[in-house]
Amino acid sequence: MSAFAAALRISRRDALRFKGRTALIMVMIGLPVLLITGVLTGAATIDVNDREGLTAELGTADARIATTRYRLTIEQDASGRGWTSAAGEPFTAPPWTRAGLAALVDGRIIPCDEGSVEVPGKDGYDLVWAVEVDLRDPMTRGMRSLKEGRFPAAPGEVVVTPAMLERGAKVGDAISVTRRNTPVRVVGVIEHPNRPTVTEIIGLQGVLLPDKTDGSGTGWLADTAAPFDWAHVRGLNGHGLLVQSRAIIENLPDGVLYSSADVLLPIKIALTVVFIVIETALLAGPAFAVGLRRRRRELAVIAAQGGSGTHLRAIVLADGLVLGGVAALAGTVLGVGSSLAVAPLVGQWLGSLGPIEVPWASVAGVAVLGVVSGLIAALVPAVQAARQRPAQVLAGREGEFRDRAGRPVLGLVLVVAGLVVTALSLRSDGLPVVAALGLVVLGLVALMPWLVRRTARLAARLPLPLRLAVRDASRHRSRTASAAAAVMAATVAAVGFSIGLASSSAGREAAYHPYAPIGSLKIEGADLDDSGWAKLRVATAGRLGGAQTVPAAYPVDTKGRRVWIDLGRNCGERCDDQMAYGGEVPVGDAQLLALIQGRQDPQAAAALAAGKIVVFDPQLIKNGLATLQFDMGDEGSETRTKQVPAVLVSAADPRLSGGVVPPAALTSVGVQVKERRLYAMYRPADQERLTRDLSAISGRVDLYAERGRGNDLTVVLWILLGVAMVLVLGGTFAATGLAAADMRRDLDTMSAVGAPSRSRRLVIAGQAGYIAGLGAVVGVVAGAVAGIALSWPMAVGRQRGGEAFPFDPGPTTVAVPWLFLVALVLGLPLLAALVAGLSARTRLVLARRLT
Amino acid sequence: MTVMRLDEVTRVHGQVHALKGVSLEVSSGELVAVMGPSGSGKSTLLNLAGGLDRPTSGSVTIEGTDLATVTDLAALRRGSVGYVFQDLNLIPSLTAAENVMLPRELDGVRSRQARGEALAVLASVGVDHMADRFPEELSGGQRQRVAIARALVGERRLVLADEPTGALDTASGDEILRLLRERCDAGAAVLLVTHEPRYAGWADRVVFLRDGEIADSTAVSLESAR
Repeated sequence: MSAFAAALRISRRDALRFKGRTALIMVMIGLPVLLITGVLTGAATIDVNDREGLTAELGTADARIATTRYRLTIEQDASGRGWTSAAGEPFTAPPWTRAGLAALVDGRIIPCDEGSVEVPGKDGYDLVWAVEVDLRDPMTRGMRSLKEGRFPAAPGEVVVTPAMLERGAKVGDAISVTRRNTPVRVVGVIEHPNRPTVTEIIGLQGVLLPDKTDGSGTGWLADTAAPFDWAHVRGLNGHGLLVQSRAIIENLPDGVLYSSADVLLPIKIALTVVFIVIETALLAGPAFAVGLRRRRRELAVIAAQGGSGTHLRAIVLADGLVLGGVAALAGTVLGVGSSLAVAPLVGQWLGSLGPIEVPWASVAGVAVLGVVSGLIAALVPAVQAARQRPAQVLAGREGEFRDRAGRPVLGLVLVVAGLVVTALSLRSDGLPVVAALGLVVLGLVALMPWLVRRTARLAARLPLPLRLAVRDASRHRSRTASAAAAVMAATVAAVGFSIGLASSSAGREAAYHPYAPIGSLKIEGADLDDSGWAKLRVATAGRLGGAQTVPAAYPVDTKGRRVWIDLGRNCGERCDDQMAYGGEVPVGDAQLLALIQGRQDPQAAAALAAGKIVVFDPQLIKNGLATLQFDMGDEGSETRTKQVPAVLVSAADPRLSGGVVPPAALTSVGVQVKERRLYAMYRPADQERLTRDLSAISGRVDLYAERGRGNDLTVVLWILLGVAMVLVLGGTFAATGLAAADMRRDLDTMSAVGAPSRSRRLVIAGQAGYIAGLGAVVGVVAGAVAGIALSWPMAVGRQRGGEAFPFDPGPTTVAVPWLFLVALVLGLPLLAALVAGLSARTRLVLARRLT
Repeated sequence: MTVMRLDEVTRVHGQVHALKGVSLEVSSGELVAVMGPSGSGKSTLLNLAGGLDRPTSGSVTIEGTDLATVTDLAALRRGSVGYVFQDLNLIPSLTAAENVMLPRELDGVRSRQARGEALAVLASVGVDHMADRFPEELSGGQRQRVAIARALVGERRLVLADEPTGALDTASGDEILRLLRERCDAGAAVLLVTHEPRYAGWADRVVFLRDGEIADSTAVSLESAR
């Protein structure tokens, strides 16, 4: 124990003596700790969990009881937000009344309805939050705080949040609400305890939410004699009522259904933790390696005084413990502190702010990981310290000590094992693949010293400054390998995920076969009467940016109820269940056909006019007949089919499936049609707003914009590139800085014999380029394997037969974001070399030689 | 009483025979100087004598224990052997007292007790008033005194000194030799490697090494040398 105390003393004093190295290690270990603890604390503070949100939701009430559309038993979660019902049509019964509820609840109840209301904005109506509750009632205390004026005391009076003031509302003035422009007077300003930026209006019942029905936010606050227990909640669930109970949310009982937890979360967290610890240890590794080399003589003296290998190992490990510990402590204090300082501002920006909260367990866990990272970073130097031969070091022959490049056996075994597990887990949900790739990365970390030695042989062909740089990097293999491995690990992760994401997106896009062209918009007014429909047609004309609208038919039965139609697929065994089809088969004339098909096709138009179905997909036609499927929608009725003459034509977009059904084909099987749909080639910028605007004019309108299934990955790739850049440049500059300090004598000698300052810059740039380049090249190869492997599990909804498992994991789509990879593999090493070269010191320092 | 004995010790590094059948004894109270040109095997001799290296053949015995039978040579050094080098002798981040405490602490002695022992031995070499200074705050001679104190702390009676005066001026070098002589007279055994014939005069015996062999061994009259 006293030996370890001595080791800690030496480490502590050395940390103070070598401030540059200490700062470097502190940054490498402390920065991730700072960032992670900061994000954890910030997220916990900003996040408003059910318990923290209770006051805003319930005030001082014991429960909020909300209606659903059902009068049959529902099943809710403990938070009272999520619920399911045993299906069936909503029961049509008279709406819930206060008296009806009072019969079920023993206590005082007051109405509290939640929803949204439209207010006139700059360019049309905007939707804002609305609550109808009497804020003067003691039961609502704390729900909103009054900042100015008073609470509403009469119908026609409202209070608003500061965000409404920014929109022009003033205390004392009237504002209009709803499309009917009902005037209400603003009598005060309130603040939401957890949502500082929310745009909200609160008034008495009947002012803001006039068209409420059960299930659309109607509810009550209840002040009961006894707390609402789970049995009581289940009782109300039996009537189709949803309950947010203070007693339950504050003391969640065991075994109560709660929002579903991600069972794979612990594994995901473990994998992330392993990656961060390895990356941090690798980033800090070069500083420990250099520290060991500078202390070899000191350690040899200790060995001569009786220090055993274990003692030397403990002394170097104590370095990791002290530096890791101090860095973790500083990172934690700064992370938590800065996060608490910044959280209110971020909360204002994000619009959500809970009470100050430090998740101590997680924060402590991260701090411990920081210490562990320090210990792991010091592990290899510690083992080397224990192996050093004091007699040689003391005799000044320490140069004879070489970093062991090791045999590549362990690394190769890990890489091969990782690849085998990867291949075997291609059909999994992706976690085993990521875990297996972790093995590959560990293997490559172990292989890196060997790779450094092998690649150094190429140095002979390089010009002098680069040759010197690569040879020096190779001689100090621990330092170089650690930094290159850090670059490699970051590159593997960035390349792997970028290819995985791009492949997943491309796969979804390729497997998607819409029934209407991508970029088209369908407007449906199923419930409109003829005058409403006429108004809608007029209204759409001016709102679609000049796009031409084409009417289409809406299939109904004799009672006017919707009939679902589709076309049967004749693929049998060959049906590819990876394919996704979007939309409903359009019903209409030649004009609609031209829009859907994407071009004019007189033959197809003629066939349609002749009552034939025009299909774009060979699987939809057999022997000149298409199978029309129609479902009358009666409960219990089965889907009926009818063979209808059809023709196969090609659409402008080969991915288009389905076809166009002539109204005559439907009427021939007893399905009626009415014109209640419009198609247009138009991408709405704000679909929700367009829906509200059109609905306000004519009645309820539904919009469906066909946007395809691909994702825009630009932002994700930029974030990946940014993170990779920080790690690659951080690791490279740390190692290059240490190398530059080590090489100063060599560089001075070079200058002394006449080398221009450019050569010094080139040597330093060469070091940086070599470290970043080697890491990036190895990383991109492993990352490409990772990305291609991930393209299977990351493909959404893929189900495959397993006959040929494991050698045939089925088809997949691999997409490579080339520009991203070029930026990562060429751009970052070049940038690292450029910056390192430009910032290199070129002044010749004449050293006073003591020996 | 013989503290250290080398018996027909040979050390081969690859093709190089650093020592060829050297036999030597150092007894309690005896200061033996080893002289010889560069590469004659002086440092190898010292490394073998302290168990920093093992002989290719022959035996090394310290206080009656054959080092070939010792698995934990580091523990043996902590208990029986102290080294003093030419320079970079002390750990720069530890104070004088902490440097002297180090072998004892490594041996598991509690810090308080180790410090007490260190202060006692520092007092015996005359630098106890410098106990809390760092090496960079000490003169070269003071540093070597601290190093000698560290070599002697605990029950150790064998001091192996490798050019301990090499980095010192003449006056300081004389002081250090006088100190080593005093420690010998108090019962320690000292094996001193030096280039300086002047300092060999402080020795009871001088051994000349050449090409890994003892070329000559001379008993020196103490009075005449000084």
